[in-house]
Amino acid sequence: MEVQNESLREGVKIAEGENENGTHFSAIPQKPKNAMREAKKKEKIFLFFFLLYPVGQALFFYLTINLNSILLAFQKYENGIISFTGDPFFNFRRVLQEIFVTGELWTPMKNSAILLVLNTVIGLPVHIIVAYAIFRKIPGSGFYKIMLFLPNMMSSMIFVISFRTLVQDALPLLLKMDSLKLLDVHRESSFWTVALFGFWLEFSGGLVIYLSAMAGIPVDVLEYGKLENLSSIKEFWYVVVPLIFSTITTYLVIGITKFFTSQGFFFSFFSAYLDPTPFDTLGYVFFARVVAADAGIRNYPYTSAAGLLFTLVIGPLTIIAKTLLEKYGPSEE
Amino acid sequence: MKIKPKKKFFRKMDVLETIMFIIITLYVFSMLLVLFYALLTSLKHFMDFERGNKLFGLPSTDKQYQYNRPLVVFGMQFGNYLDVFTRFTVDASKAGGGVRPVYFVEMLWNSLLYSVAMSAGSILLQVMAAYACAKYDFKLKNFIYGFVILNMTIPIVGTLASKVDIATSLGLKGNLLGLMVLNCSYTGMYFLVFYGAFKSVSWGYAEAAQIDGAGHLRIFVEIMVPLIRATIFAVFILQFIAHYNEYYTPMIFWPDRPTIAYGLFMFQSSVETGVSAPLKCASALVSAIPMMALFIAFRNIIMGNVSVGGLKG
Repeated sequence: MEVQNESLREGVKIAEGENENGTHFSAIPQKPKNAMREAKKKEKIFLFFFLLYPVGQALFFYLTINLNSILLAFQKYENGIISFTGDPFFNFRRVLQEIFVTGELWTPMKNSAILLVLNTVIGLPVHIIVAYAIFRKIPGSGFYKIMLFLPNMMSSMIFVISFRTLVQDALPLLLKMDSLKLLDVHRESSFWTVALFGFWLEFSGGLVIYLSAMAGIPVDVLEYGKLENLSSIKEFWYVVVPLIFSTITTYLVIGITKFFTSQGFFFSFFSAYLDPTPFDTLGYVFFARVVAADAGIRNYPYTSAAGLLFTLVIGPLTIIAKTLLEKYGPSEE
Repeated sequence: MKIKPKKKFFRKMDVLETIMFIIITLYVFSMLLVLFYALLTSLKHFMDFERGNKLFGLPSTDKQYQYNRPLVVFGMQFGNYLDVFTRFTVDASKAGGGVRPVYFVEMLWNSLLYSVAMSAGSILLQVMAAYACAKYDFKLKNFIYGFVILNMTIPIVGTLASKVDIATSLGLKGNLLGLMVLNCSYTGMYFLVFYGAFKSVSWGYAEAAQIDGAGHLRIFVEIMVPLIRATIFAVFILQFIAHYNEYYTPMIFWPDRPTIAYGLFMFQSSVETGVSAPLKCASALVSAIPMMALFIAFRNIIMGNVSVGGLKG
């Protein structure tokens, strides 16, 4: 190792040169211990003030909102106010009864399961393959990329309005079937029509993120595949999927959690219905019961109790899914 | 002189590529069809549309539909687009009680205000937290990172009621600053994007600046942030678009200042109140113009600068 140059920056002597491997080095003389301690202290003070608001805000609202939700779950709405009563488990009993006794929540659970299959089990692979096709630069990929990003760029309400006009007004006329009102609130078809609309609108979900992940695949790996004459199916399966699997895991885990939270586009199409409808999903039911204009605060305790019960299910489920995906998912090697 | 070979539009594709090319082409065609139908509808007279015989065809050239209507060209009612500014309204409550109509221009202003404030607020917090976690070693680092993963993977379900309750109690409902305090958080997927971006930046720049006497804040503001500015800008555009198009949050927490997306939601729900389909479609298309312009201007930045890793933590 040979020192070729010594310079003074802000009074600190710096030695620069090249080592045996030819790589550049610059050596800053060790600071005395108390100077190091001072620097560390400054760093701590900086980090404290720097992170005070971001972390404080997140923790404060996380704790207060969840704590308040737990408290709400054990309270009851009576005579226009929410308060603790002698029966703290009233809301939990009501939720469990609606699942196991009266079956009121069966339709929302069934519909949520269908949406999970449609949007995550079928949808996720579709999203990845679509992104891969664009990544492979199929003819017109530049134009398609813009078109596929359109649903993210425009408000879903634009598509909702256009789709509604087309399906509800024009389609019955085109097919000469006046009764073909697929989006009538109390028809079974309303669920499937909107569910498929959602699948259609999210056909290229996560496009930007998947494309960026694919762009991060080392070029030599892809070049090697080309030399080996790998077909695009093989390249996709053996190269792309393993190398972007961490991104896929993220979407997969988020997709699973949507079982309890996804409303599809039902609220956009139908607003808030408090009575049972054929398109109820768990996400829609609990959202509608909170935001419906005539619901007021009376459903707060009930929806909080349901949320708490569902979290007890969803928590372990996502941890298991994440662990299994990380353990048994394809390896980058 | 070297002549660059001309790129062929169609190249040889294998099975998967061919299948995907066909599927994507059909999908794009279906999307264009829906948007074209909206465009066509937006140019019709409301009677022309509601009579039913012109649901699919071109706008009627019937003279009776042109009476007292501005900007009619071959039966196409471009005047519908002017109507957007006067008839696309949403009722919002007034400060002193009662309701007032909110028009398109005010909704657009509210949307821009809301989108800029929420995007900038969130990005600022995410960049700060991601930078600290990616570039410093401190005790709470794993906790801060893990908290994001926890929020993403195990969302506490059904807390909306509680959130509304808390927002009402703390006076955060109905004002933009309150909304920012409540909803702009460092947690979320973009924290991971910034974390990844900062991780890929060499600390050598900071060391050099430290030697020159720069403090931690100066290194962050003047060196590190500019180094990932492309990512920050891309995320800002993405978040701006998402906030512009989102209507749940303004509907629940800022109902007195309707945004465009919220207005469209209210407008499309008003099926029974006689709001015509041509006007709804015209309003929807006009409201999309700002985002279309934004995307077209910055599409290369958006498409190339956002990547997210896994959920390890």
